[in-house]
Amino acid sequence: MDDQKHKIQLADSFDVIANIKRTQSEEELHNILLKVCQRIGMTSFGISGIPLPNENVEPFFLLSGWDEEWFERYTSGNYVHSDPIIHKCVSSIEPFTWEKAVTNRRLGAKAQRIMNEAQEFRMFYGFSVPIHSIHGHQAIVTFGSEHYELSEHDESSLHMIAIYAHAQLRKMKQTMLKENFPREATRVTPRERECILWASDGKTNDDIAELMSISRRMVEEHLARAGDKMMTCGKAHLVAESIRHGIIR
Amino acid sequence: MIDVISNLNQHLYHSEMEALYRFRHWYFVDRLGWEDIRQENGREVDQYDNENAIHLARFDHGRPVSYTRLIPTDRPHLLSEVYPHLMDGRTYDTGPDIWEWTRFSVDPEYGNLSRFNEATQTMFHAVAEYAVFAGIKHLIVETHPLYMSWLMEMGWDVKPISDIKRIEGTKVVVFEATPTEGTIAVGSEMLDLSRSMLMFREDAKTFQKAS
Repeated sequence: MDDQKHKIQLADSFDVIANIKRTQSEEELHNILLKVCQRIGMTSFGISGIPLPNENVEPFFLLSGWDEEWFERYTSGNYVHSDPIIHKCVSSIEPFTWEKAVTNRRLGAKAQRIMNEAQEFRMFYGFSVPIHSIHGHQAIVTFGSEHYELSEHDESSLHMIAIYAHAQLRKMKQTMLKENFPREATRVTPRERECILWASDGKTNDDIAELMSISRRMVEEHLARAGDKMMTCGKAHLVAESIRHGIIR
Repeated sequence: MIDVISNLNQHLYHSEMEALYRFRHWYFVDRLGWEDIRQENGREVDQYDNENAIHLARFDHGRPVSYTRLIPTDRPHLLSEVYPHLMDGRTYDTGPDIWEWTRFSVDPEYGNLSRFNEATQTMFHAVAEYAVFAGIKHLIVETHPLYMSWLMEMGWDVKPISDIKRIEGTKVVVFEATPTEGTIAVGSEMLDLSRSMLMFREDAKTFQKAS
């Protein structure tokens, strides 16, 4: 085997994963990822949930290994909604290099500007891993650098490490979230949630009844119960609060 | 409910098993393009569909919604016979309490990547329940890395044991998935369940076979 030329051997990535699973703070995880980056010649990284078109990215950011100024520009300028890397991420289940995300595509002016500005922060090349949660939420784990020297094998190792880094962060955040959450809100049932989800899609109660093969009255009841638990008033408020609390996206 | 179909009760599932073999052919050959297992008669059946296999399936008025199959690793299984190259010569644990999880499939009408995926969650939960019930220590899975994220989200302990490889262009990784009591708690909460999802249909013949 020609394993020698890879920057991370398989046994090493298994070790990194085992270490990630043991981390208890964002700081520990941050340090592990930093070491991985140094080893493979990447200079920055970021882990973030992907917001819906009308939302700001900042509350979705899970962990930033980016230059502070870039982070500030990215979040305050709402770059996420024009970022071609994010666009590619939403429609892909496979990891990709930034090069692949922008070649043979006509980028809009803002998208091009984002890619150019990233270069001011030594991010010329990058590798990104899309994460799709079982609830349909989306996230990205992304690595940037001045030079790109990853072999396909290294990319695979990063892919696995990214999956674990994201899963571990989600676990940490969930524990935090549960602590300052209306207790009742966690008790929204899957059926109630499905009703909210369809409602957020602009469906009427009649539409939802048909989609879920239940009566209109059941739909109203599900929504009313969920509304009680979330302490909201009306459908729009319920949808908004459900999004805010991550019950739906 | 998720029906647990084994050697002991398969005689109660004639038409359902037929539907499942056709569902598998439709899902894996017609949809995913696994040409190696194409069958003239449209039934996807292989040598591992024997008396040792456990089939888990959910039906909607007799129509398969989701399906998966478990096979013991102390006998020939897919990783040992069909995909040994995925391991690059590395060894892995096998035994009567380590099973291989194969042919996981959900009718896309009931669950896909972008929508609330209750059918997938339910099947993952049922596999955890079955594994704990049957004393299975862990499962060996060969599939897309995406499933590692999903299983972890549902409270499984997941450990990769191979590189990420490609089979006909699709990424595949081998991993061990261990369900615990905690996994069942996470799934029950997620799906708002107060009792088991598993359904063991049985008759006098089942008990005869079992004794």
